[in-house]
Amino acid sequence: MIVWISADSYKGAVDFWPAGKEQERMTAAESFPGASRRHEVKLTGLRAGTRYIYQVQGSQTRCQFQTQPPVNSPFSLLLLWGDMSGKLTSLLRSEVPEFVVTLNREVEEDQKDAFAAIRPYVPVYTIEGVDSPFLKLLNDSKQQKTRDPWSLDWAGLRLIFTDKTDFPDELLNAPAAHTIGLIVTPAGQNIDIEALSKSDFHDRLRQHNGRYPNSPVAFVAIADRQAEGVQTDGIRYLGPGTAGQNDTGAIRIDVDVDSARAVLLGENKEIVLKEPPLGEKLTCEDCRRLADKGAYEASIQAYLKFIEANKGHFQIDDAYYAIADIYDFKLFEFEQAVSWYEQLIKEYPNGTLVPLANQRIKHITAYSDFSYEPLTRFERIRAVEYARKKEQTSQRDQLLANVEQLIRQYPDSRLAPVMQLWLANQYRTFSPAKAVEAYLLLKKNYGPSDEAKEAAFEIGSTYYDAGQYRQAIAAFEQAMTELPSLSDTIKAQVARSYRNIRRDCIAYGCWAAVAVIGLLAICLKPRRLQNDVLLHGSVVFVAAAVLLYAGAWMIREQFNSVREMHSIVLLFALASGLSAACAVKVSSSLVQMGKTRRPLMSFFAGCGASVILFPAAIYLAVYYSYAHYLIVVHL
Amino acid sequence: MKMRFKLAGVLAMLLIPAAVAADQPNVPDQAAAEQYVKATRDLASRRIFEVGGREKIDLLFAAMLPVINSVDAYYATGYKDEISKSLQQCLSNTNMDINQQIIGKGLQHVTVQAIRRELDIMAAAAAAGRKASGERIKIYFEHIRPTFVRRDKGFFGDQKPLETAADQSIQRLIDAPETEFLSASRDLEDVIARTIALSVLYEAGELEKSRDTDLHFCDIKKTEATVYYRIIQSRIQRRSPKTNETILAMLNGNYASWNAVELEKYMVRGLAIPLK
Repeated sequence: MIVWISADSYKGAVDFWPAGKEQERMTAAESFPGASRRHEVKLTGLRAGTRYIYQVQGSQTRCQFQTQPPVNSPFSLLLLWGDMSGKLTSLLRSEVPEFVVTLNREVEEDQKDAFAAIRPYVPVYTIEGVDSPFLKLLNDSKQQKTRDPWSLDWAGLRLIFTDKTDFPDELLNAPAAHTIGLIVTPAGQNIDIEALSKSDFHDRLRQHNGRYPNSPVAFVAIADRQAEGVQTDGIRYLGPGTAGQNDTGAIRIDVDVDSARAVLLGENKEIVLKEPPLGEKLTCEDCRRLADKGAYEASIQAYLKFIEANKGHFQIDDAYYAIADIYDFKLFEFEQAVSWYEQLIKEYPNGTLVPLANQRIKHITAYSDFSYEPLTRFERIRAVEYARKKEQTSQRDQLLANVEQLIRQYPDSRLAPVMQLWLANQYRTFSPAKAVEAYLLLKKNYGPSDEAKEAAFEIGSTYYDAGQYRQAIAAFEQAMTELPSLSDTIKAQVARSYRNIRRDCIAYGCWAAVAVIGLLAICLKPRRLQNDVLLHGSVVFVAAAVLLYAGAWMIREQFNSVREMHSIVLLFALASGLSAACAVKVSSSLVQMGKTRRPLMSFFAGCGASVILFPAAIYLAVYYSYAHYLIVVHL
Repeated sequence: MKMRFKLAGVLAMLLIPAAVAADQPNVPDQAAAEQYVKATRDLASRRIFEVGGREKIDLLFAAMLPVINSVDAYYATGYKDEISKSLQQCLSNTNMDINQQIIGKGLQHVTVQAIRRELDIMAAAAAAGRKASGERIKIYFEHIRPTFVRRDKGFFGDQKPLETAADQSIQRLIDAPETEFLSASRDLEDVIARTIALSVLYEAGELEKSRDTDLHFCDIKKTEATVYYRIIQSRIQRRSPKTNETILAMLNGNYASWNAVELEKYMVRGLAIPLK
């Protein structure tokens, strides 16, 4: 929500776009009607963790704001105390916080707004809640400041603001948070940080951390004290600020999923608030998260530390398998992968992962010739680069050429037929001719291999998929002689090919019928569009559409998509309307031309045209929208 | 009377930047910035090492020193020594390909740091001081403009989003009112970070293409990517130390572990801006 107050009354609107992408400019306007001096514009369609630039329409000034990042993303916040108004712009530029918390009490109304320069850029919170002069002006009841403890959730961080050490338990209940921080404002009490870290208050936080290790309380900041504080049981107590009136200062708090730190600006000092899990604190889940982020080497190191620090742990076999898996599928270092799989099998012969490990060893060792070189290079292309670039034609072609080159380089490797088959299968999606060529090469060069056994059938299927049914039949018949064990499957494919040829022929016939009758209707005098023809056609189209929509709606689950339902209904209605219009045109033209003296004959002639046109048009409608429905009428 | 006001105004215009600069020791003035940019251009040519001779190189390096020293002192970098060492190696024709990249990309880092320092000065300065800093930023930008042009061409075809955004934000820094300074400076920092991150990606992509065939070329690309990454490292490291570690692990790891797609994800996470 962007809010502002203007000198004149008008209806406010705001242009906004993601930073660096002005072409994605959007506009939002005030939702309530009429002009006003107070403006509230709600911006919608925003993406998480994105900086937006916004500009109030009519103003030249561009400002920015940052949306909350997703839960696992890192961010910084700024904790300020004292009068920092002269340094705010500089701090905001250099520290780039996502929001600012001031430990000062709320400013009195007659005092100058110290945060005016940065309000258009970041939200400002005081220890009593959101700090907004606009909302204060509106005298919003929700903004009545209370001294009750409250919490602020920002991308996985929960900040609890309280003026007493006794606060409700539900504020600690934050399952979505990865870090909890407390800001305690003693309000006249004399709190000793050392004593607090040994009090019942600390016990309560410690118990919480024991129960909820994934959302621990990481730090407690006591306002109006100045101390680096102590760290007890993983909870850091620190004191930003002093009780002195002239004291000023700022702390930047950097928060990430597994770490947090406070940087005392101006003192060049850093305090760790939450340590990243290391050594014995590291869990298998932490190691896996690293791999999920793509930090494979770091993940392996973490697993090694986990294994070292947790001997006898029930997840050690999982760690072995995970390391092998990273070497196998992510880094393509197959020798290492096999060694870890073997270690798993040796140390945990009854483990549930052993069959999978055996399977992978069998697969990898089958292609271990040439020191894994062809396997490493092929897997890197197949699993990483091709998956990533297959939509970009030039890069896709380049990668396929690389595989061809690899096959030429290692024609005798055990992986060569696998690569050749993969190559043919990839070509099949966009170039049937090249796919057939690749299958033929597979048959020719690697005939006895498992991969080449069904090449003849795959050639037939390639033609079939490309709609080249006559070539498909020829190829299938050839395959029948080579693969008698697949004769049932091949026969079914041949029958399908003949059926599809038949469907194509019928479609051509239908087009011919539509063209002949259409031309007849157009050529018969009078050659202009008569009102009654148009009227009859339209009435039949509308009536058919209504009836068909009603029927289709009742069986809507039968359609593949709503779009398909619409297209079939509208095409059917169009066929009905055109047939009706054609019938009227033919019969009325015959009557007017005096070709027949009997109007009944003209009527029958019109009906005849319609009877031919209607099924032809319906057939074409089904043929082009979803030909599979033709099996309903045994076509 | 009017004349007196005008004179006072002119005097103020001259004194305010000087006063602001006086607060910031060793800030190179406009002439030093121009001299620096001109020298970097001359040094960019490989031919200078072949025909220029030691004296010419020394002259060029001396012309760049005020800016390099100022950046080294302010940001505690060691570019004077690093660039000087690489220049000597180039002159003795030792590992020319790698050393030239260290000089070229290292100087780009110096330039970006000089721009950042000017932005720091602007954040604390009065209007006139900001204008002078803005003009110096405009001069510094000319050194890194070719990188923007190349990344525009490589990633966006005929469009020029990076160069246009940089020019616009520099102009806004000079012309726009004080209220817009934060916005314009962030825009400029973003577009610089985006261009440099795309440069890292570009070099990583080139390395991926050649890692099975040309290891010397990979060494050059690795040097380029690593020095480019230094330029944006502080921002990523501060925002997410873990992400920085992961990127460094990849850049310092063996060539098989380089993956431009993953690298892009990390950099987007660390910089919090879309790259493409």
